[in-house]
Formats: sequence, structure tokens, C-alpha cells
Amino acid sequence: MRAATCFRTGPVLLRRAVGCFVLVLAGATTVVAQVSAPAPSATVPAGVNSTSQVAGELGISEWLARMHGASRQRTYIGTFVVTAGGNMSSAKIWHVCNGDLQMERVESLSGQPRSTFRRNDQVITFLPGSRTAVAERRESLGLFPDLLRGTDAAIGQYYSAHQRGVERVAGQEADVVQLQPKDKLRFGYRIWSEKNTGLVMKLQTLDADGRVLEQAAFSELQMDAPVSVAKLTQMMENTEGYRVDKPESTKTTPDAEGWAIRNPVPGFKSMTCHKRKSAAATDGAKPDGAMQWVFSDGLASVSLFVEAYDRRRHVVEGSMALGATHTLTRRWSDKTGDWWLTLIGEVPRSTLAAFALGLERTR
Amino acid sequence: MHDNEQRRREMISALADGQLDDGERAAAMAWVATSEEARATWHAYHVVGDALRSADLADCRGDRDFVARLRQRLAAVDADSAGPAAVPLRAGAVASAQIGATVVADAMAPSANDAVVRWKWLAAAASMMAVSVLGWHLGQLGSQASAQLAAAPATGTAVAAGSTAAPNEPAVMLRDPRLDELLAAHRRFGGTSALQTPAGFLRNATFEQPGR
Repeated sequence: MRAATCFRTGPVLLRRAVGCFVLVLAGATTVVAQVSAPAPSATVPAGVNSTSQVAGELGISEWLARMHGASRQRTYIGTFVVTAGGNMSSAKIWHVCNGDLQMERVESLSGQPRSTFRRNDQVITFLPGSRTAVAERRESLGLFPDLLRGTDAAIGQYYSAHQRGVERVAGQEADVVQLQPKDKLRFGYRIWSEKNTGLVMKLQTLDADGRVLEQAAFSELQMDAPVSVAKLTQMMENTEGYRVDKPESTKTTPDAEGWAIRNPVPGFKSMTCHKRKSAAATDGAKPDGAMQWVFSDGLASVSLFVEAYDRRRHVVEGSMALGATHTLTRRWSDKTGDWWLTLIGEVPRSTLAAFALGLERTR
Repeated sequence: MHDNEQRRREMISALADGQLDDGERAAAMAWVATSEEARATWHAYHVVGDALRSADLADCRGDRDFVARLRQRLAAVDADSAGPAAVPLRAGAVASAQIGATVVADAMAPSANDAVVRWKWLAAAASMMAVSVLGWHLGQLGSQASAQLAAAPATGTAVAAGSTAAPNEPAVMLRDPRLDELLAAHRRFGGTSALQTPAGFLRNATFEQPGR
């Protein structure tokens, strides 16, 4: 395997001094995978089934449970930096837990100003520029225990965990854990998990050659910092002066919409299916009505959007990549008619193509 | 003939994405070094890439002027001695080349991981995307794909010029708002991952591009 390659400085950057600086920052974390994995220093968290352990090394479900547990038990303030597809974004994070309650405040430091608040699965994003706030419930945030319980076998079947030594991130010692995909349908991950708590300090998504597609990491972290639930709640609820948007969609099933997957993509299970309400203003008389069918293999997810083909709007077929996120857009036809597919997921393009190929109209 | 032109443009696209092997790269560089049209294509792809990545990057005024000035200045310094020594390419095809190409080559050399850091488009999708999106801007909806492809370099130039005249508009025009919308929907419902609570949500909240 090739060690993670340093982010390059290319011709695009010649003319973009700011971008260059940013990449130097992100590129400073060239990682050389260690060949021999030292004995794991982490302790198995209480209550975690350790049957899948291999000779003292934590299994993938133990690692994931440990990382998840840390975010449910620790309070911290930090600076988070995300680099994907040549873009760098950073934000200041406040995170607090109180029993079953988890709250987060994410204040963007780059790009346009925005603040995101999360209270368990309730999320609201304030955009001061347009004086709008987007309020939504994100089901996926409540899914973790089910994901691990329900698809644990699947995660273990398609990925393996290997410890790659200990490194320092944002002043903290962290276990480096590599989640290696067992086939070419998914990407790998390298995770820096804080030694004592398991908190995820840094996460890289890697392609089949071990190249870093994107990276998210704390650049600075203050553990057990004073963060007040009451204060975050008050800020989150104060929507005065903002127009509050609630993106609407209705739950449905692929069956009800007349779709099925004839050839399933190994490891990816159907998770949810929604029908999007149209943004009426932009589409005039025609409702949007795109169906969003979500699949997951436990770590990566894929959205399959299907809408009726419209010759005027649907002109550009193609595929793109932004960091680990790939898209594939194409026209899909059979005897029942013409459709427009958009596939988006943190998977290789070929995986998206496999979804498109496996799709079947059932009526 | 159109096929040939398209093939060459795809080569430029692949060059921009660092996907060529040594021989192909040398050929592509040689073409970029000698053809104004090739340079216009190279520039257009980067403008499209910038615009797709971020509205903030779409304002490309001055790029071409800058490169032109840089070429002049470098030529003035010493055209003879600067060449081969400064070119780390193994394939010698461009070694004797013009200073402008040397600049490009130099910057290109450490780009083994090029694809990591920029929006890339895959093969034919590249020219389709570039032309269709740019074509939009000029109100050429509905024309034949081949006609659009043939018009690519001219269109790219026109947009670059247009952005000088009205710097704020193309930045909005060039992106595909529908794809942005679906990307946002994917983040909302598609973040189904055991890594979501530890890092995925923070990643999205930090990285998420606000709606325009």
C-alpha cells in the first residue's frame, strides 16, 4: 500500500495564494502507515461484546463503539478542519453531553458565516447573510446503536480494522486505526482515536491506492471545557429575525414508487426512502417529486435520486468527485418511460454505476 | 475532425487532473506549449473546475493576464538557460520548449495526487460538463452535443471575457444548482454511517456550502 501522499501543490494553486496556504496546512499531515502494529493500548469499553477480537486487537465494532461512546460522554471545545477536493473549511465546535442529551454548536470560520446547532437529532442552521434558518430532523443521527447492532456483521464482512500505532493530533495522543475495505466497492478510512477516551481526532477517507480523498481533523482541542447546555439551548431556540425553513419530504417505500434493485450492490442495505416536496417557485406547474432512496453499508452511504426525465432541465449527464463524495447523473430508460437518475455517495464512481445498473422499474 | 478535437480536449482535461502517464503528458504539454487554443481550453477547464468547487473561486479575472505577464517576464530573464534544468519531466519532448510551458510543467510535476485536491470530471463528462455549463451561460440550450463540443474553446474564452465585464454573475451561473440541492439532500438523509456521530456530522456542518 502506498502511504498517504501529501496534498499536492499544482498549477491551479499558482494563482491562488490563499488556497495554497490552506493546502500547506492540510498537507502538513503526511502520514506514513506503520508496517508493524504495536500491541493495542486501548482498553475494551465496558459492555462491548468482544467476540470478534483477534488476539488482543480490537475488532471493528469495538473501535466504532468506543469512538461513538466518547462523543456521548465528553465535553469539549475545539477547532475542526475539513479538506476535500481542494476546498478547506474550518469551524469552531462546542460539544456538550448531559445524560442522553448531546448538543453541539458549529460556528463556521471559513466561507460564508453560518452557525449550526444540534440537539440529538434536531438540527438548525442559521445563515445570517440571508437571515434564514433551516430546521430539520436528521434521522441518521439517532441510528448509531442500530447500525452497529443490525449491520455489525456486515461492517465486519466488508471492512477490517487494523491498529497502526500511536500519533499525536491537536496535542493529544491518538491510536491510529485503519478500516480497510475488503473489496473495491467502498473506500477505506484512517481514524485517529484519542488514546484515553476514544474521541475521533482525525478522519481520512482513502481510495484503493491509499490516497487521501478527504480529511477532517481537530487542529486544536480543549477537553472537558466548560460548555453550558442551557446557553446552547437558548441560542438554538432564538430564531428571532430569521425566516425558518423546514425542508419537507414524505416517507415512502421504493415499492410504492415502483422501483426495485434487481442486482443489489454487496453490503449496501436499503435504509430510508423519501419523496421530496418541490421547491414550488422554481419548477412552476410541475412538481419536483424526486425520490431519494438511501443505502448504507454501515460506514458509507449512497443516495439514489429518481425523477421523471425532463428534456429541458436534464441536459448534462456525467460524474464528478468532491473529495470522497462522488456523483453520477444519467438518463435511464426502459419500456415504461424515461427517468433521470442522480447518484451521490462516499463511494467510488463504479459503485454508483453498479447501483444504476441494478435498478429496475416494477410497474 | 471533431472527434480528434474532442480527444485532444479530453487529453487536456486528463492533464489537468494529473491522470496522464509520462508519454501522454509530454504530448499534451507539447500541444499546450504551442497552441493558443490548447491554452484556452486548459484555462476554461480550470475556470469550470473553480466555479464548480465554489462560487468564491469562480471569479477568474486576471488569470490570463497574470500568466501572460509571467511569460513575458520569464522570457525577458533568460530564455536559454532557464529551460531544461528547470524541467523535472523525464520525457524530454518539452524540454526544449517555451518558457510558458516550462512554468506549467514545473508546477505540474509534484501532482501525483492531483485528483485529491480538486473537482475532477471523468473523461467525456468533462467536455460535456464544461460546454454545457458554459453553453448555458450564453443561452445555447438545446443544441446538439457535437456542436457544443466544437464550440468549447471559443465559449470558454467568451465566458472569461464576460466575467471581466460582469464579475458577479457568472459565479452564480456556472454552478449546477440542482446538483447542489441534491448534495444537500444527500447530507441530510444520506449520512447513514456509524461514523456519523463521532465525525460525520461535524464534517458536514463544517464543510457544508450554504445555499445561495
